[in-house]
Amino acid sequence: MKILYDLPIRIKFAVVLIPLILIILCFDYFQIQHNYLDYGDSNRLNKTINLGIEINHVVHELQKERSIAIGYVTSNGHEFDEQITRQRDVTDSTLNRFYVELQNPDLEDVLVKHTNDIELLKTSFDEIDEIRRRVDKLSLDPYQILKYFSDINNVALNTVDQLINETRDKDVAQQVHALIYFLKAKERASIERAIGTQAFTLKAMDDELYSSFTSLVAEQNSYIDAFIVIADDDSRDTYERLVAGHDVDEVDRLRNVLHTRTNFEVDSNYWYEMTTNKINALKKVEDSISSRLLVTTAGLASNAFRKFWTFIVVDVIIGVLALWLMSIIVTNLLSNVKLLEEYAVRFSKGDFTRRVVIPTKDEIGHYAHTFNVMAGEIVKSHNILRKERDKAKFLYNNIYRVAMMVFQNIHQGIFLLDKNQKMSKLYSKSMEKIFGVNKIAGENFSNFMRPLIIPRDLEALEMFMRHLFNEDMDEDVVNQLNPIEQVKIYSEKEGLVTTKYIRVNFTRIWRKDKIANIMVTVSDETEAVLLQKHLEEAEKKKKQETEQVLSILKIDPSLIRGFLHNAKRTLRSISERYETDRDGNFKELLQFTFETIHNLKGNAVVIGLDIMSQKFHEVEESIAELKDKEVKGKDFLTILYEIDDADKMIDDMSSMLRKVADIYRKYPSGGHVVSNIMLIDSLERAVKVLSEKMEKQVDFFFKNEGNLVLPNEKIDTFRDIMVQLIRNSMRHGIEDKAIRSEEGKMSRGSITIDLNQPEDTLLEVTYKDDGKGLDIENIKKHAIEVGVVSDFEAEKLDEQGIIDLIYKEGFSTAEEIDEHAGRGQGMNLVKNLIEGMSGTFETSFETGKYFQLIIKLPVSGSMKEEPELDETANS
Amino acid sequence: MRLLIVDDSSIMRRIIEKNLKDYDIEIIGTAPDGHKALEIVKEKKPDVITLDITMPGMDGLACLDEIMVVHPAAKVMIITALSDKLTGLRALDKGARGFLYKPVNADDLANAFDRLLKRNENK
Repeated sequence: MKILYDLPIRIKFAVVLIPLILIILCFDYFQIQHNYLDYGDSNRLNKTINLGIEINHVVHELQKERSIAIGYVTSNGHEFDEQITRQRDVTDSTLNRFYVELQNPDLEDVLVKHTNDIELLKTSFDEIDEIRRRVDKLSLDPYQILKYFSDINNVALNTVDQLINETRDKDVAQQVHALIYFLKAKERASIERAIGTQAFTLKAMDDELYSSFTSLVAEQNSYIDAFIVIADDDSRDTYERLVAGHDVDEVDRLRNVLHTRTNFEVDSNYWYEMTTNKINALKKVEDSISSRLLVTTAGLASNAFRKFWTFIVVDVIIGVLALWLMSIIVTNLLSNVKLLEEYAVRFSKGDFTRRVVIPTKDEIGHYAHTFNVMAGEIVKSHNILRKERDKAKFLYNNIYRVAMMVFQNIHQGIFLLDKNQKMSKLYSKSMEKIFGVNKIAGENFSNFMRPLIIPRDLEALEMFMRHLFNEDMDEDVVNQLNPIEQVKIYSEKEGLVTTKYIRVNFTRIWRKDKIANIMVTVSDETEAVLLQKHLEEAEKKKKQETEQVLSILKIDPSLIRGFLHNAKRTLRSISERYETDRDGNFKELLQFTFETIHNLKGNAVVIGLDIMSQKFHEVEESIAELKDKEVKGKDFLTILYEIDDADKMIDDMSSMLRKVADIYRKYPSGGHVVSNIMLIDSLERAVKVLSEKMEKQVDFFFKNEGNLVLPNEKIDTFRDIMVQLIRNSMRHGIEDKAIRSEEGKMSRGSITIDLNQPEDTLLEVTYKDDGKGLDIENIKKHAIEVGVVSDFEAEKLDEQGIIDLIYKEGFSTAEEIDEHAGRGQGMNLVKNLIEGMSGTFETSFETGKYFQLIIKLPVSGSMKEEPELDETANS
Repeated sequence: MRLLIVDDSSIMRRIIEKNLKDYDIEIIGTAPDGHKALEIVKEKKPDVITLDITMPGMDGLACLDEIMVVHPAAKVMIITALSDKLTGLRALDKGARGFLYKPVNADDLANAFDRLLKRNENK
């Protein structure tokens, strides 16, 4: 069934119509065939009836001849002589007509079926001549004649029966049968005539003849009865009209006469004449029936023929008409369906520009109309949709453009994460800039961060992300634990590893009660962080510089100058040694460098130049690192670099020193207070440093009850004097801790400087230590040793004179030279400096108790502190 | 709401107590270490626990594990001076629901408790 449903409409039509056409064709074929058979049938019957009529004519004449022959023989040739001859001619003429008819070519096909009957008939007819010859010789008795002729007639009648008794038309068949009954009755009538003729001729009728006669009459009557029963009205009327009247009545009367067998006084000729008249009447009836049969069959044949052709013509016309109509309808239907299909396809492709035009008012026409309405509706909705779409598109484009503008230009990295931590396709352009990669969309965030951060942060990040997507966790609580809130990322680009500081923030985006996405913002804080670092460094540098300045201010400028000069020279000597000793023993070179730097560090420590000692300590550390290793040439590079760095620092210090000096020069009266503080500080420091160096604990006291301020131009000299004195005290004056304890003194020594202004024009500085005082004998001995004074002269000197010796040039020995003890100028320097300021001094001491030096310097005006001036100086 | 304060520093315990004075919560005990804390948890089943991480003996994370075994309904808020985020995240993993950095003030505490307890109301 499915196959049928799936067939194209054209084939469906064919499936319905072809069997129908076939059935109609079959039916028509049978009709035509039937008509054709009827036609053939009637035609054939017509011809056989024609032939039968000829045979009947022969039979009729033979019947007459038989009767005449019997009469002739019975009268021994006296009667019927003329009649017999005449009758034989008539018989022969009918025979001839039969033979002629037999030659009719139309009969050929009819006779094929009846060859045997015709042959038998012809044989019987051929016997007639023999019978006639024997009749002429009178060698036949009447019975024989009757028998012979009757035999021939029987054959003839049988043949007629055979010939005409085959028709498919019921009425014709009935009339044929009626005719046959009639012929049989007529034959009996004829025999009756013969028997009667014989009986009236002989005037007697034996029993045999009588029984024949009665049975004949009975047979004749029954055949007539049968005829009357089955014959049609016309035949019956004809029979009743023709077989009546005097002659027929006379035959009935004479037949009764014969029945009685008593009176034969009737002329046989009269009998013959009467019966012959009756038989002729019968013959007329027969001819009438025959001719009517002929007409009927001819009519049937022509009727059938007409029907045959009518059917064919009507069939052809109807067939052509049907095919024409069918083709019109099917073509129209199919073309309409095809048109619909074509437009359906057109519509389905979105082409609504045209409408289906199907003018028919059938279902397809309605459908096409509906289809057009539908298309119209589609176009309408389409237009609405298009408008809405355009609106939406416009809105979308606007939103998209704005979003894209924001995303393209915002300085923050922005993107969304989904539940699987996949990074959204849309992300701000800054993402690429911050991370230096293009592969962002769709990446797993942890994987994305993996190469950028340290493993511990990554582990924390993965854990953090899990909690961030957990709806049960409070967002603020989780965000407090954001491990990459501020993180340093390492990214490698073209082999160059860059470091950035980024801030990453996470915000949950909720949809209903679920976290749909996490919005992530990334800010590049590298600049801020670097700026911070820079600031810190600057701060550090500033601090360092301040320290440098402070160091310089705190320490005796000549000491610093001396140290810096010496350090510069020493460092240069290291470089020079490297130049000349390049291929020498590295180990030795390293040892030399270490010792030199160590020494420099020690010197820096002694003068309290922390910043330099610290620097040298760093250099020392670098060298110490190398000491345990196999030293190579390039290892020195680092050291040389560090040395160079230290060298730069020395240069910085030198320039700083110069700047400080410049400031002092620019503001000669300004920085007095500061300078004084610095002075005190540096003296204090000198004491401290020397006490540590010499392992003598010494306290330093600076007394300035009058708050006197030394003028700037005197400070340097003043400090030089004081440092020299302190150095002397530390080295020679103040005893070791053990000796002091033995002598019952305080274990800690003390140095005191006291400033006073007894007069407006005089500054009095009292320097005093609580050391062992001066050893007069030792001084004398040393002075003689160094050649400051001769033995002779020495003996002449009093105590004051000996004391004065320490102020002589050359008294201080070279062995005293070190970074702390000056350059061997000693008290001579003190004397020179005091005298350089036009001052005087006075030395006093008590052995084992103290050493004191009172310096008197001329000054002009008050040396009191002047706050306002001080302010200006500091600004 | 019944609160247990766990911190090895007595000053810190006092600060938390003092700061929660005006907050509608009943402090049912304090503990200086994990072991003591566990005893109180088992005995009194507090609703809320503030928990320090660095403590002598049993530290905060170990203690949190034990608390979650004996009293999983407890809302635990970590209050720590540790700035290490990984440790904090581990505490969340183990079942902590709140987090605060030391030093704490009354506002911080109130906000943190509000958040911790509001979720309780919702559930």
